[in-house]
Amino acid sequence: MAAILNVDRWWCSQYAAAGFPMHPDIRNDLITGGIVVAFALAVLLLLVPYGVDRPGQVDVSALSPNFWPTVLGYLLLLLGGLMTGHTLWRHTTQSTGTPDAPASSKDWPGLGPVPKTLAAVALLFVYYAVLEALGLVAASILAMIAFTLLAGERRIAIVAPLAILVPIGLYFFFQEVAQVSIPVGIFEEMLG
Amino acid sequence: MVEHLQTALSLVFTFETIFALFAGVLIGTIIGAIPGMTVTMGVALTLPFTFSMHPVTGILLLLGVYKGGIYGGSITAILIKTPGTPAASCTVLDGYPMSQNGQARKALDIALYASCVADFISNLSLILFAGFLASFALRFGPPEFFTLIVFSLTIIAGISSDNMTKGLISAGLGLLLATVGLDLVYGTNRFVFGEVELMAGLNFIPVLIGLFALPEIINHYTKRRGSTDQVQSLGGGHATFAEFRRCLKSIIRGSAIGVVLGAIPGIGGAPSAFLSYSEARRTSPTPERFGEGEIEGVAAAEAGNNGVAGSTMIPLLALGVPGDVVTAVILGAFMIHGLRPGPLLFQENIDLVYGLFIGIMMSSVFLFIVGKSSIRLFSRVSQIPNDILFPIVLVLCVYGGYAVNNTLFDILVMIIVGLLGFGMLRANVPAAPFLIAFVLGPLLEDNFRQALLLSGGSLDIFVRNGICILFWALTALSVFLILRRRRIDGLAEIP
Repeated sequence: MAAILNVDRWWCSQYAAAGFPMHPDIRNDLITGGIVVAFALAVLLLLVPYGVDRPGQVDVSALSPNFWPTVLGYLLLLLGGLMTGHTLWRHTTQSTGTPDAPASSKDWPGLGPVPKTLAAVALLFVYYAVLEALGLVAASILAMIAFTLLAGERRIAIVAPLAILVPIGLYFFFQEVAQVSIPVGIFEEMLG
Repeated sequence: MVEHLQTALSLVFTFETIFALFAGVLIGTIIGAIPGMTVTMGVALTLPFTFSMHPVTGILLLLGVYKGGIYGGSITAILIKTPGTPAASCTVLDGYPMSQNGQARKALDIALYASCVADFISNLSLILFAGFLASFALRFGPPEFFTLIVFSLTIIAGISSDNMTKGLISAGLGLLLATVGLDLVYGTNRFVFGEVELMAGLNFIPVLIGLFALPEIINHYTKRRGSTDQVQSLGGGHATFAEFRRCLKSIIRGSAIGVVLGAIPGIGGAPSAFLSYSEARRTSPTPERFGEGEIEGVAAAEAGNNGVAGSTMIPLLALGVPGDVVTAVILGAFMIHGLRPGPLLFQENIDLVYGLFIGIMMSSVFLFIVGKSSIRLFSRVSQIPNDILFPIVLVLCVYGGYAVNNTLFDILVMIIVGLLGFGMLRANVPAAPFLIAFVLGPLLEDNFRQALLLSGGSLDIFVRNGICILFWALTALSVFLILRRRRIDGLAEIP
C-alpha cells in the first residue's frame, strides 16, 4: 500500500535527480505497465503451471483448462509491454512535466495522507479479523467509530448513536426481512 | 399475449413491488444528490437487499435506484456546482449560473421535467426495440455470441478510459479473475490452491462492492478534510409551462441522442448529455446565453443523460450483454435469481419481461413524484459529511458482502478486490471493464469452447457467417475510431 502511495513519488524524485523531470502521468503509467508485465509473467510462469489442473488427455489444445488463462497471460504481457514502451516513448518526446511538490502537512490535520490511508487499510483487516469472534454487529459498531474518528470526525454525539443504530438496523433487516442469518457473536444473548 | 400481460400486471401491482420501485427511486435520488457517492455504488449496495425478493421486485428496486441516481446527480450540480454523478457534469454549465442568478428552483424544475420526459422516451424505446433485437438474436450460436462479447468488451474497454491500453488491461484482469474455480468443460481446478471456497469461483457481489465502493472509501482517507460546499438557496419561481414548451424540442432531441448512445455498450450518460447540450446550443437562436444560465441548456443536458436510462437495458435484455456497470449489476441480479437475460428470456420468461416493462414505465412517474415533492430535502442531503457517510457505507458493504453466501470469506475477497480497485483508481485504470469482463468472462470462454467443440477445433467457425464477420468488423472499426480520436485529442493537447 505504501508502495502505491509513495513509490511514484520516489521514482519521480530519482528521475528528477538524474536530470529527467518526469510528468506525473508518465510516471504513473510506467509503474502500472511494469506491474502488469510482472503480474503477467507470474501468471504465465507460476500461476498457470502450478495453479491449473490439467486432465490426462485433451483432444483439442484450445479446449484445455489452461488455454484461456494462458491466452490472457500473454494478452496482459503484451498490453503491459505496450503500455511501458509507449510511456517511455512519450517520456522521450513529451517530458515536460515536473515532479509534484511535496504535500504540506497543513493540508492534512492530524495524520498525513499516507499513514491515514495505511491505518484505514489496516483497520479493514482488523475489522475482518474480529468479525468471527465479536460478530457482525459488535465489530461493525467498533469499526464505524474507528473509521469515523480516523476520518477526523470528532462529534461523538452524532457518531455514537449512528455507530449503534446502523449495524443494528442492518442486522434486523437481513435477519428478519431477508432471512439471512447474521453472526451476532458477543451479542448472542441479546439478539440471538 | 393477454394472458402474459395479466400475469405481468399481477407481478407488478403488488404492494411489495410498488413500494420497492418507489423506494428505489427515492434512495437513488438521495444517493445521486450526495457528492462522492456514485450511482454504481448505490446500485451495488442495494443488490444484497434484493436476495429475498421476487426477481421483478428486486430488479425494479435496482432500476429505481439507477434512475433516481441519474436525476439526483443534477441537484448538487445545480445547487453546489458539484455533479452528484459524472453524467450530471454537463448540467453544471447552466444549472449553477441559474442558481447564482436566484433561479435555482426553476433550474431544478426543468431538470426534473426533462429527466422524466427523457426517461419515458427511453423506456418506450426499450419496449419497442428489445423484443425485436431479441428475436433477431435467436439466430445466434456460440460463435456469434463469442464475437458479440469480444466487440462489447473492446468498445467498453476503449471508451471507459483516456487510455485504451488501460481499459484493455482492466478487461484482461477481469477475464482472468473469472477463470478462478472449476473448469467448465473438464471440471478440474483452476487457481483454487486447495481453498474449497474458491471452487465455485469468486462471487459477483463481493467483487462488485470491492471494486466500486471500497476504493472510494479508502481514497477518502487520502484526501484532506474539506469544508462543506455552500448550497445555493432554493430561491426564485417555478418553471412555467411556457418555459417547458420552449425547451421541449431540445428535450426530445436530447432524449433521442440518449436513446441511441445508451444502446451502444460503454458510452453512458455523460457523452450523451454533452452531445445533447452542444446540439441545443448549435440550433439555438441565442447560443451566447448558454453557459450563462440558459434554462434550455439545463433541459438539454438532463434529457441527454436521462435518455440513456432505458435504452441501456436493450443490449442486456435482448442479448444478455451489459453495456455498462449498472446493467452488469442488474445482470448479476438476474443471475442470483437463476435467470439469464438474452433472447431466450423473451421466450421462457415473457411474463417477467412484461412485468419489467410495466415497472420501468411506472418509474418515470415515480421519478416525477419523488423529484417534485422532495427537492428541498435532497438539497440538504448533499451536506452530509463524507467523514460520517463513508463509514456507514463501509458497514453496508460488509453486511452486503456477507449476505451473499453467509460466509466471511466473501468479506475477505471484497477487501482484497477493494485494495486492487484502489490501486487501479490511483493508476487511472478504469474499473468498469474489469467488472463487465468478470461478469461476461465465463460466457465468453464457454461460447469459445462450445464453438470449438462444434467445429472440431477449427477456428474457421468464428468467421462462419455474416453476423460473425459483422462483429469482427465492428470490433476493428471501434478500435480504429477510438485510436483515431485519441490521436486527434493528443495532438490537440500538445501546445
